[in-house]
Amino acid sequence: MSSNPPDTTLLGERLQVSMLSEPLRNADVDVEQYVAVFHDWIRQSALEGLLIDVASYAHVPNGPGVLLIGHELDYSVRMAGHRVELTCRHKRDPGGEGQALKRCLRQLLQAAQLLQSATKLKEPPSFRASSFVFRSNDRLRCPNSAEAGSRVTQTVGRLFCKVMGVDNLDVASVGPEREALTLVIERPAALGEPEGLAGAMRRLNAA
Amino acid sequence: MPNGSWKEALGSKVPASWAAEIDDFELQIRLRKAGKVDEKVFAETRLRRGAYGQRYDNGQRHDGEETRALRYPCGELTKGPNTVWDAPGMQRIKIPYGKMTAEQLDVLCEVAEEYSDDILHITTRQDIQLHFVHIDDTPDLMRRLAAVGITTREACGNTVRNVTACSIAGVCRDEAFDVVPYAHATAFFLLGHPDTQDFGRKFKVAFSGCAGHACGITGIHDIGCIARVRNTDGRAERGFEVYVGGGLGPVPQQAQLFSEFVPERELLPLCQAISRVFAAHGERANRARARLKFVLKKAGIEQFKAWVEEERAGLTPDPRWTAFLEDLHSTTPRGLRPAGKALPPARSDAMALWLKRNVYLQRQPGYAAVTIRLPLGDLTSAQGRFLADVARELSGGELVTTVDQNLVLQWVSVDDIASLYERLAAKQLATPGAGTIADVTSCPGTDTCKLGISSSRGLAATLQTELAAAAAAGDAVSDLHVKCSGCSNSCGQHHIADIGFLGVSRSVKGNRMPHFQLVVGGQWTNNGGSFGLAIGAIPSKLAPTAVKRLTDGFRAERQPDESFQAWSQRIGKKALRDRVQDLIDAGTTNPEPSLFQDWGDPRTYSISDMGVGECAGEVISPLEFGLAASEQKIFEAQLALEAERMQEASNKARAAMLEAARGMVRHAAPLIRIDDDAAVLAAFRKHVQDSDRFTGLANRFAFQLLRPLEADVGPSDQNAVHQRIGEAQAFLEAAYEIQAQGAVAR
Repeated sequence: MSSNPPDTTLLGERLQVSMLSEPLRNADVDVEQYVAVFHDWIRQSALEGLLIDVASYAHVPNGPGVLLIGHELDYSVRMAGHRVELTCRHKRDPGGEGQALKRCLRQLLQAAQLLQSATKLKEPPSFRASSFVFRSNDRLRCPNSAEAGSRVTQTVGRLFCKVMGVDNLDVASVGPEREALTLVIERPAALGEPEGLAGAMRRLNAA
Repeated sequence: MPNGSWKEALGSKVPASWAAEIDDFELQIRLRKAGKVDEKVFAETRLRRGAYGQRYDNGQRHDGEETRALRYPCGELTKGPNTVWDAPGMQRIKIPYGKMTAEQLDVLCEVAEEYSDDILHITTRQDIQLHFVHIDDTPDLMRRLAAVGITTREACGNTVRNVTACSIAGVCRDEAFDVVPYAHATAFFLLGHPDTQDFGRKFKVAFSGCAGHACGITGIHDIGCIARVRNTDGRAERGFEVYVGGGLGPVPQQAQLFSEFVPERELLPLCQAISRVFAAHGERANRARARLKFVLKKAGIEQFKAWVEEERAGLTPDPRWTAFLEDLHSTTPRGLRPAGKALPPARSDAMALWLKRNVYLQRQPGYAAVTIRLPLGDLTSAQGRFLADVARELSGGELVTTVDQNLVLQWVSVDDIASLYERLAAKQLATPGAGTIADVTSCPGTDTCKLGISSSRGLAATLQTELAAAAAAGDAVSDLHVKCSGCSNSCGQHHIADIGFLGVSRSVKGNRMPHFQLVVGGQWTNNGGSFGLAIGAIPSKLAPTAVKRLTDGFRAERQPDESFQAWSQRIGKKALRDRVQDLIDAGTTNPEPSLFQDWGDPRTYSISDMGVGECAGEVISPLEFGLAASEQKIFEAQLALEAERMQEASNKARAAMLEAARGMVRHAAPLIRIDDDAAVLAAFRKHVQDSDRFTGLANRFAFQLLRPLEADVGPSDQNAVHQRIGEAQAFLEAAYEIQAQGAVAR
């Protein structure tokens, strides 16, 4: 990947990044327990931006789980097997064009750090900066085409390389054309054990 | 970086008239942001485009400890009275008679993913709702839907709402005939019709293919049409048994019989005539009594009929009244796959229940209609795309939303049923028990509705789980219907459930406690044939216990073939109450702390988040709408002038005067026909310009500026156009003067 700063303006504002936790010990985790955590976050203004409400779709199979609705960003948690999938969805960017991906990733990492220490959870999840899923929610700017996919892959890959402190990552576009453009970003296993969230956050802030 | 907009990208895929409407709405957004449109006018404008308010949009939220301000970046800007601009809202999307194509569902999934929270919510009136949508995103959302034939126009506000119909229309074994072509014709005839633009309240129309089932629930609608065929001189003639004035809400009213048989050619003119009577006689000042049912209550059915007949006699014939009859079967789909031989054997208990409850053998041999049971009416975008593909492959490329908040695939070959079940099960979409006691319906309640008092969705989700075994039992209890409403507006249709719940609150030891009023013995069949009895208010968390007590009692005490409704009437209200009295009392006698929380919400319960509902819309007079439209045209004229498009600027300026004139005429003479510009001019002269009511207006001279059509030769030079825009502004100011003085009296 090039070492030039990534030009993220092409991504627009509507995008999301997800990450999976390490496997939980307890297989029967009720995702509804995150409702109370998210209400606390609203009360404490625990994350940047305006936090508005909690919406639970725990009853929907393979649904978005429990959502923390914000003005600029939403957060959601759902179970993926024994793992917790945390997603940060960026909707609008008062901070300036081109900052959406960085901001989304920063908030995702921050939310992950908060969840790791959430005392209301029976088994707080543990996250490592080893793999992410990027999705564009803007079919006008970033249609799921080969051309746009290649362009977005370059841009997204460069930022994630910086954040994960590596020269190369495995970035693969997944899903058929009519679905939103989705990239799976993996840290190659050959690079050894991935680190925790703090290092990733430090490098992101420097990127 | 790719440039452009959805407007450019979609281009001519959006029908021209719909594109113009959406452009107008987008301009209204700009004008509101610039402070050039009153917030009430804008509120009704957006409601008429289906853009609804949502909980906490007044900028306040109770966090369990105290009410705190939600500091949106927009500051003081509002999109309606006490409704903050930046606050997320709900977009309601009309799906006429619930039918949509796979292509439409694909786009609905896209917009849910990009502008909402990845969830499509199906309502009890066959609409689809998206939540947490920003008002700024709605024009593009509407364009993308319009490009595939979906309009959100008149999905909310004081308008004709979604026209509903049976979800198995066209394939039903009991229907007199397929009502879909009639529902389609009615929906698009009344959409934007001049006679439906000045209502004091919303107006709902439903169609049913038969009298006995509940798929269309015509008994609770302003106009309910049940298909009938009569023999006239040896010839089968199609028509409708028509009911009027039904409705739920705090004061539920059964629809009254208007006519035992209205011939099909008279359907649309009758709907038009009823609309005109509602516009003329409906209440405006008191929002709680503004539905058609109150016109009926006040005037009586005979007087109402007389008014309708008088209006019908005065209508100018419209070719659309009968044009659709020539093409009655154009919307009828056919199976893509060959008719099958027989339903497959069940491979599990779950599949057996699914075959029994979710699969309906059509009147067309070898085909079935399959119900996809959705939890609380919710569907993800990914699931929607999957179902769209299934519909393309197996069922004629269409899906139908139901009043039970489910989806139906018609025209599935019975030979494909086994493989369909496997595919649905793999996506966790093969939940059995459609139409059973576990298939609980609910309005949004406190989750997202400004009016919600109790968590109807939270209760419904709990009941769906707890009643799964009862649904599978296959006894009389399995057939019961449970419905939950978060408040007395009754969007969950609890009045016509065997067991219904209505959200209320009670003050206990100085604190509020969420409750549900238990309503027992409503009739879901016979198109929502009768309403239940209120038994008593039970703390929310104890409502499932009440359901268990009642169902256990019914199972044990039921006489052969006795319905739940008959059983509840036989044992009586007092006995029913006695069975839940301890639950009622539990809220007041040493209540458990958990009773002060509602379902799915760990916050201490509060009613301080309740806002002012928008169900009733804003009563905006035709004059106010005319003034807003005129402002918009003047703004457009100025933009055209700046771009040196002189002819367009001149035309827009003149159009601005016509809009203001139309508003004044409509307000002065509400039922007058003004179909074209010439009629506006003539009516304006008669009812406004030449009327001695306005001689005292300082600006009256401005009325002279509205010149006849023949004098409107657009000037080509900038000064002349500039002058024309100035004249339009002066004309508009005169109209404002009339508004301020209240000079145009009805």
